[in-house]
Amino acid sequence: MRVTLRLLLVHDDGVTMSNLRLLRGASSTVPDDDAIKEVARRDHRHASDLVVRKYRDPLFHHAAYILKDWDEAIDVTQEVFIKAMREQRFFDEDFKMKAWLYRVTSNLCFNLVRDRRRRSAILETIPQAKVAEARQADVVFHSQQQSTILTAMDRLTENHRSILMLRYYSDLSYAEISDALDIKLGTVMSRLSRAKSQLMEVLHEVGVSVG
Amino acid sequence: MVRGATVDCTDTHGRLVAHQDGELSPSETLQVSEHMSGCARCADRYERLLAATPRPNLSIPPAILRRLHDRVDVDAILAAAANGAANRPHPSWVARGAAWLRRDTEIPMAAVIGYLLLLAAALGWGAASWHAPPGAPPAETLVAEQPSPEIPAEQWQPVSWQPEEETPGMH
Repeated sequence: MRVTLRLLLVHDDGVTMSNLRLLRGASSTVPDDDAIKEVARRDHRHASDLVVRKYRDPLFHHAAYILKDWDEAIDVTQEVFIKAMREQRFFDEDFKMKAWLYRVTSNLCFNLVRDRRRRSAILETIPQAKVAEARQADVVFHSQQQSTILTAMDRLTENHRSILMLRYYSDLSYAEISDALDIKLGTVMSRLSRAKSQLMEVLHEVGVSVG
Repeated sequence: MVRGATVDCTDTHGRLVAHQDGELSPSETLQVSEHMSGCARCADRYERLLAATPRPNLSIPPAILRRLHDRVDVDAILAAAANGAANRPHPSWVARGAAWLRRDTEIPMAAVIGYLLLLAAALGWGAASWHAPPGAPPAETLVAEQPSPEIPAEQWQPVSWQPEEETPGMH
């Protein structure tokens, strides 16, 4: 059964520590990517286990932000790792596994989002299907401002949404984004600048005070 | 705006977000900071961009995390990867082409214009350089050399035909 949570505001400071911060803390005990590649030369299964443990929660997090649906995010996370284990070069010395994982996650998520849009466009043409409830934003946020920002991001282009999520939700550096999206560092800077300006304009349009 | 308003504002606008993200070099950071200290418009934009920054504070319920950890397990993944690799059909060229067309890419306008200009230049060069091979008779000659319906075929000779000179010793 699909778990559907409505957009909630949580004001209890006891739970405001972001999951991402917890995840970063958890990740610190996991070896870095180069060390995992070393392990892979001796023990492929152990290296795979380390990759899954290191990136499972952050990738799920990333997928959940894009999809706003826990179950779909779990499915995508699983699929990303299956693809990774099928990728022959995954543990190669010069393979950028983090960038690859985020790129594949983003692509799978945005494919799902596009499929959803196509499906809903078809359903709108069928009168009896209108009773079907649209999916809720299955996320719980701690602040009104942040829930509004996430909603406003739906009005941005896919490229802008993708880069904003990689930078601010998944905390990738500009260099990592450059690898993940296969674009130049200068393009990362200019695209992020345009994306944030566009987001600011959308927030202004919906009447949210930004500064 | 006080200092460097015309040039620096444009430069600064493009670097405000990178400044917030700590991705500028120390000298660039200093330049942007110095500009903002004298430019109210850029300083105001900086604050508004900062307020529009998405912050990660998604709460994942523990039950969901447990389900994630149960489902996304290394043994299950390795089994699925091995199983799928054995059974996966090789994608057809049609499927690959369709996937390529569906991909989400940005094609710079300059590249498109450049490609069109190159194509036009190639077509123009091809049209201008097309002519009959050197030494070939002009088109009207070719027409004249065709046998006329009024002349019986056995009496017809091409205009350019010359009887071969008899070479001594040939007979």
